[in-house]
Amino acid sequence: MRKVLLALTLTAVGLALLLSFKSRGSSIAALGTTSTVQNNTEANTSAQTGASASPSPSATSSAASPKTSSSSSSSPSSSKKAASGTYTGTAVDTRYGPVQVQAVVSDGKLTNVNVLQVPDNGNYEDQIVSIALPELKSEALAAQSGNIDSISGATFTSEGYAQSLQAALDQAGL
Amino acid sequence: MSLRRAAEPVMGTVFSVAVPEGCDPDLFAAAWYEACALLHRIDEVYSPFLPESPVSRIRDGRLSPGDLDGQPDLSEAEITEFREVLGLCAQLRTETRGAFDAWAVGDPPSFDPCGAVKGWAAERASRLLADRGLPAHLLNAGGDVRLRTSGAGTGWVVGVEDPHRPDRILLRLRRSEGGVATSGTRQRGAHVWDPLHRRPASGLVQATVTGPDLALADGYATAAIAFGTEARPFLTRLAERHGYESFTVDEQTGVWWTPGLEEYVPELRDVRRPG
Repeated sequence: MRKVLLALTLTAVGLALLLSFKSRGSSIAALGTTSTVQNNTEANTSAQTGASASPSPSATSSAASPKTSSSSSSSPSSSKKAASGTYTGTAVDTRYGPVQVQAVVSDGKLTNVNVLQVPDNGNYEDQIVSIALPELKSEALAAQSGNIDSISGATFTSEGYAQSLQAALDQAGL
Repeated sequence: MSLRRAAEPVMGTVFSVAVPEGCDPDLFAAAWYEACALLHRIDEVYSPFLPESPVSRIRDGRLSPGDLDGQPDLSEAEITEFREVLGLCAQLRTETRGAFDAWAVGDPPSFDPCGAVKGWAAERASRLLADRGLPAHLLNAGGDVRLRTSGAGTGWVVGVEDPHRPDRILLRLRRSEGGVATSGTRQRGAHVWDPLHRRPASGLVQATVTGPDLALADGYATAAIAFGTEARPFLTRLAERHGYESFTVDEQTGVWWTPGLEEYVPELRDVRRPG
């Protein structure tokens, strides 16, 4: 069971890594992978989910397509001030190693976050699996697909702000 | 809904604001300018890093909190506000049973109200923005968020950061009014002081508290980190008596939240709540 979850986590990160180098549409497609992981009871009951998670791009793209179309259909009605685009943060050293994130913003709202660079440290993935309950971890992945107005997190310094998700949001609104 | 945003570095972090895009840009710019001036002034008064600030003078014994009257660098209104902050610190110390103690920060213990001032400053600035014609806005004070809507609005969505992965969000919290404060050990290392054991706090990695007042929510979140693994009874009592709901992430057993939080995070109703 733990192995399966680990595989799912790694797969999600791996797909995000792969997809984030493609166009914006593709990075939204990364959300599709999260929705395949979303229902954890499925993951518990079917062990083959872990094995087949990575080679399932068809399910991914079909899950993502309605999202893509809805966001593109709503954007022409809004003014040009509503920022859309992809904002890449600089790589920042964390206690686990270098992390670089990319925020995808549509109409001034955060719609997805891609991991461009993650620490090359096997222990880290183990920690993630042990830290968050599996059910909540899937919720965490699903949460990224929604619109978010602001980010609450441990206080960042003015230097750390540049790397924060909040900075990506603020940048998108300027 | 698209948003108009701005950000300002102040108090060692960054405050940012968002309002619905329909809002008058000149009104927005003027109100935000005034709010930033207020925040910089609050920083001057309360910063322990400025050697001549009133707080620094209290820290090194040059000024007694009882002798604020007649201080040339404080206006009448600021003296009243300073007492309000002292009252807030006292309230937090009582309600957290000393886990949040502005008079016992660091080793040796000294007076440092910073942990309460940021949330309080955000409350002040948010009230000012509302008074200046921005009834609906969101003010983010370095990770602590004050929300207001003008009534009929659909409210705001605040993402709570995953402390173990800065690129991810653990929760989407929906609220139209009030505060969402998060304290943790990630961004600044173990920066929350546990005055009960006189050491940096450990055990909890992150605590998020949401309720009507951001200054209190911020203080409660900081106290929860100081309580560490003993935070649950405190947070449960807080929810039952005062309506402040919370969500924690710890090093060992994962995540936990108060049942009332599910009002703001409906997705959690589908998730088994850890005992």
